[in-house]
Amino acid sequence: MRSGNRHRTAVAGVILLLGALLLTACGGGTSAAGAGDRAGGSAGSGGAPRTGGGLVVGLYLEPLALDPHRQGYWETYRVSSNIFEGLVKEDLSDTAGPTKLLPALATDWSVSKDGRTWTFTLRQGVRFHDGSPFDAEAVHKNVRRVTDPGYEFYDETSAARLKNWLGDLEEGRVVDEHTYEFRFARPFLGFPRILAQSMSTLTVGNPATWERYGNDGFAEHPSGTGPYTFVSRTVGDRIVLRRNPDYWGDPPYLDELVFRIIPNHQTRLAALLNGEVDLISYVQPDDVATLESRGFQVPEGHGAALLYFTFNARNKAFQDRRVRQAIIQGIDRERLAREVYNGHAVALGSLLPPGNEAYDPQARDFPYDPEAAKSLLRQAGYGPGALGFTIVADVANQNLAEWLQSHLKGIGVNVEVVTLDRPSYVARAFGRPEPEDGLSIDEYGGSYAEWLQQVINTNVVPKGFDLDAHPDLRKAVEKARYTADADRRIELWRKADEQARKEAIAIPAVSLTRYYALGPNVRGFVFPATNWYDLTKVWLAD
Amino acid sequence: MGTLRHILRRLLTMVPVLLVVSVLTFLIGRLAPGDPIEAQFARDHTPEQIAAIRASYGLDLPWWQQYLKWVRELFTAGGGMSIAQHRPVFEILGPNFVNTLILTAAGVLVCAVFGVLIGVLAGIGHRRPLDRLTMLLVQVGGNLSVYWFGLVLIWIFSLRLGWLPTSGMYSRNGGGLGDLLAHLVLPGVSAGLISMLVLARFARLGIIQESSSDHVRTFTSQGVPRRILLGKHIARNVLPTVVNIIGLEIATLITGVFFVEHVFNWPGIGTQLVNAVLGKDYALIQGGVVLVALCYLVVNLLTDIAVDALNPRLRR
Repeated sequence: MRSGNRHRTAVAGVILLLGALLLTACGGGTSAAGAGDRAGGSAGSGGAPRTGGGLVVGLYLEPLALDPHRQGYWETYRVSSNIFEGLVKEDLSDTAGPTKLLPALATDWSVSKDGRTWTFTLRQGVRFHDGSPFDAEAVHKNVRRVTDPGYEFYDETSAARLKNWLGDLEEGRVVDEHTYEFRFARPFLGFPRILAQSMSTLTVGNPATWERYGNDGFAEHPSGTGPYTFVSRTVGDRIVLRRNPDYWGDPPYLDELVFRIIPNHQTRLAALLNGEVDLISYVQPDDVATLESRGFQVPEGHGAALLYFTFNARNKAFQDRRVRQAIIQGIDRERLAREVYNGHAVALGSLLPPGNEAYDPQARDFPYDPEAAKSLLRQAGYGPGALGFTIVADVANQNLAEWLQSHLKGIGVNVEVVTLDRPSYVARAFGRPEPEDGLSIDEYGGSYAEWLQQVINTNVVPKGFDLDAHPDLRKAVEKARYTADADRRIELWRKADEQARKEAIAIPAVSLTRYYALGPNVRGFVFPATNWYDLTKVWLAD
Repeated sequence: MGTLRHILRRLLTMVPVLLVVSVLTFLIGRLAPGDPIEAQFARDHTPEQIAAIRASYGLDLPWWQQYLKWVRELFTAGGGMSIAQHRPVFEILGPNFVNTLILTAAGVLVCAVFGVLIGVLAGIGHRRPLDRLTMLLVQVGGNLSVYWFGLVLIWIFSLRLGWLPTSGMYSRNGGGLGDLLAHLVLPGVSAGLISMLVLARFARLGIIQESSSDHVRTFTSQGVPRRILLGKHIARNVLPTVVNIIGLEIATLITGVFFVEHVFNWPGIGTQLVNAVLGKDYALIQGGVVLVALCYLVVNLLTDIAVDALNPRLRR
């Protein structure tokens, strides 16, 4: 009966397997736990904060260099903002926006009457993580690293990233140990808010570190003044930070922050559901209901960013304003928000998104009107079916590109869709477009009004749009950018935006609703009206 | 001494194979669309700056010079500089490569133990219900997507039953062998699944064939007990096949665990290579592929040696 025994074991194994399959099949039912609070973007407040413990964050992509001047991706800054600080910061408890500005490494700042010279009073008694002092000399070395080719540690890569803002800097000057002065060639009233941003700005790193390890070596030993110090990084796996015991500001509650890189959406979600991570970003809208039904908190927000389409102005068709306007009028953005994003998006009519300091809810470029679009195309010499172009998109935006393809048929435009991996996309859209390329799709933005100029300089002009041929727009942007009248600055940016809308330089599409998800015991997390968050106020309940 | 010569000859033939692999990897990387420097810098750098950065990586040289430079760097400069990470390639790949090997080893273990077990059970019970059922499972299982299977495992054993962690290598406060092993179970099973089924089929077939071979039939007719037949005569003849298949499957696993790494967020080189491909990080892609190819060849060689040793009939 020996074989009979084996028989039974094997049968038992098979039954176990089938049982397991059955379990999955029945697993669809949801337990009716209370939904987390989402309103207002803040989550899990209440109770007295508790100090200690570690938070594990699940990131959706590998952060780039942990270097204050070489940052890329918001996901990078969500890590590095714990290590480095700027002179000024945004109020990350502000859920309505535009975020208020708060002192960080500077306690105070003022501008000269002509709007060209900014003087910052630096916070005293602050030290970098290695104990070296933060003072005006340290700020000066940061400035020199990104502006002064004569500096031994001048970093060309960083300089290029910061050129948009510091290209006009005539002189950075140490006034005394705790005072630093920036003198620009032209007025720059938006400067403090720029200093509070994440990327392409002057976040302050420890000069002693790049003097010791070099510019390329800095990111392996990142050192700043922030609430957490760098412990270790394993590319493809995790970044570990520990609480800075000598932090100058309110001490953070958590002892340790671990950022795990989990690119697969399902795996990241599973890790949260199983309690292996406490906070994840880039939550897929389809998963929100599941998470809430299991007692997880899912704060939502918009983060002062937008999805927008830019024209390839090297394609002759798009040198004609009527054609650009026709494409705008041929796209129903409300429907786009509904159909492509299942309503997890808000249709826009301006490149200045909600959360931007110059956002104007009334600002609209052109309403959806397919008949008007067709007639504009006719005027421009394109009868039905005569205009054709390619939409170039990142693979992540394939659905959207295909939706646009079918949608634009409605105004007699033939669209081809080409989707590429990220680097090929950037290289083609920004570097070398094909002649028949028409639209490309991007997402970015910020709380600062100068964003309008940034998007024109980095997304519109590089694609062949000749600003000199549009003097009204050019003047309007320069007027806002270089005004010395603080009371009129926002109004001037709105006027510049009006001009941009009139010229139909790009297609603002939607502001996507973003979700973070938090474990049931995470407290004090706020989804602010910007693209990163404050972990120093986060604590873990029992 | 014949064996040693044989091994030496095999080692020498690895050189041209690696050479071909390196040239192909190099060329495929260059022929694919997209430019790593432009991708990283096109937004905020002038064409002159981009040209300067490109030159600093030697990407302005003719392709054959770039190739020679890279081959030199493989031996002298840790595989060259990663464009995205500014660090030598082998320094980046090293720790993760060990993790990939750990996962592969777990997959091999699953494959070898369960593959042989299932194959032998089915082979002994040839044409009986157990055999039929096993083969049905093998057929179905062989067509499963590793990706889907991994997610199902996570769903059952982590989220429903709460027995095992969902992903990664260590718990938040973890460390230690036990923690690592707990994290290894699900990815190991996922990685080993397909290979296990392949092995089971061959093991079963081997046993069935050997059982009906002339000498075994002769032994049977002479009244040799079945247990001895199996343990001594059949097993001995099936073993080389099994080892051979395991060897082949190890090689397949090394290249195939990437999917498993993705699903279980295992910090192996798969994730790194996918990132490298997305970022067109030439040196990193090339270094990774050459490393994997080298492993493949070494495993094949070791398998051959083992099979030779086990199978006297192949000795010349």
